[in-house]
Amino acid sequence: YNFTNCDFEKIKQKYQKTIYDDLKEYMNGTRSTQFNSTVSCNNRADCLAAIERLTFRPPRGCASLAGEAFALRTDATFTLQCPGYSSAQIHNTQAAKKRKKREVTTNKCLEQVSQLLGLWGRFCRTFRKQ
Amino acid sequence: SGYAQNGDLEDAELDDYSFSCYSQLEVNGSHHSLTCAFDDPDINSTNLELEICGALLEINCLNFSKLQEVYYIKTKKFLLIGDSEICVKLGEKSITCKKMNIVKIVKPEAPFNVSVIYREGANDFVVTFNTSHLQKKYVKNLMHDVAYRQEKDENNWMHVNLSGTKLTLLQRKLQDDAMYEIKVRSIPYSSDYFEGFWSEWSPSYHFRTPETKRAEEMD
Repeated sequence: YNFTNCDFEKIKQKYQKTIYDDLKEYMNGTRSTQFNSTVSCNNRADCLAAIERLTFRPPRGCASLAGEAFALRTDATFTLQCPGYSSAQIHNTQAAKKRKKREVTTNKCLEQVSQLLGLWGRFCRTFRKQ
Repeated sequence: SGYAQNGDLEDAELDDYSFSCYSQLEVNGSHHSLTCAFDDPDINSTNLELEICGALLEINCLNFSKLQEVYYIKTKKFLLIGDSEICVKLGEKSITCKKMNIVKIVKPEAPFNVSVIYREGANDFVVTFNTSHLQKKYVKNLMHDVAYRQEKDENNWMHVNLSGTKLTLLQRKLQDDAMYEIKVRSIPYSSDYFEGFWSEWSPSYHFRTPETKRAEEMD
């Protein structure tokens, strides 16, 4: 899915007002320096694509994040603010949400969410340069 | 009364089942609440139930509880993104439904601990108050309305709007040797993600202004 036509301002607002707190709550207890940043993005659409990939297609060692509050809110945000984005077709989120209510928080998942915080931070900083 | 009024009836013959709601986020720890009531207080709501669907975490719908004529939900499951649909139901039949966005019908909790301290050296009064929203995750940005009046001036309220929780009133702007009443209410900051209605007023605080020297010399 190409995120170029999304309403970036509204996405940033929803992130800052809801998703950010969810991610911080998920990382509760871990030091912010515990994981190195290994993923980056260049522009807003690129950042959202990376965020979507890391949120809904986690790596080996982290079964699924799709049932987490931040993932449900990310999904709702993209569905609302990105024309034609429908998570159900793109990565079968609906099935993932039903099958995997809430997974055990593994270290691999913590690392993944740490990368997500980095990507969202990068996305927000693209607004400062305006 | 601090409710959304933007509903339209499905069909002219139906009784007026229009209703209004407000939400309070993190009102009890991380639990939110949603409170609804029929606009017509005389409606017979005995068998009527309310249900909310959409924009919920991990579930599709939630049923309201009922206390006298008020329907309410206490939950952590608000997605806080996008619209929900709230329906009035008679058994399984939806009589009327209304689209609502939980974050746009927020009614803050009333401020509290209003107090006034007179500073003789500065010839002013320092007004302070507290709000539970300073500790919240979501609805943090509020506009406060400080209202004060001379007690004998029934409806002559003066108002000051501020976003902080401290305000100074100049002594020369108030009457000497007079009893004053002061109270505060809050509303979500207009340009914030969260919008909604005025809270209830805080409990009032009463204070007396001193006699000034000019008045004392004339005695």
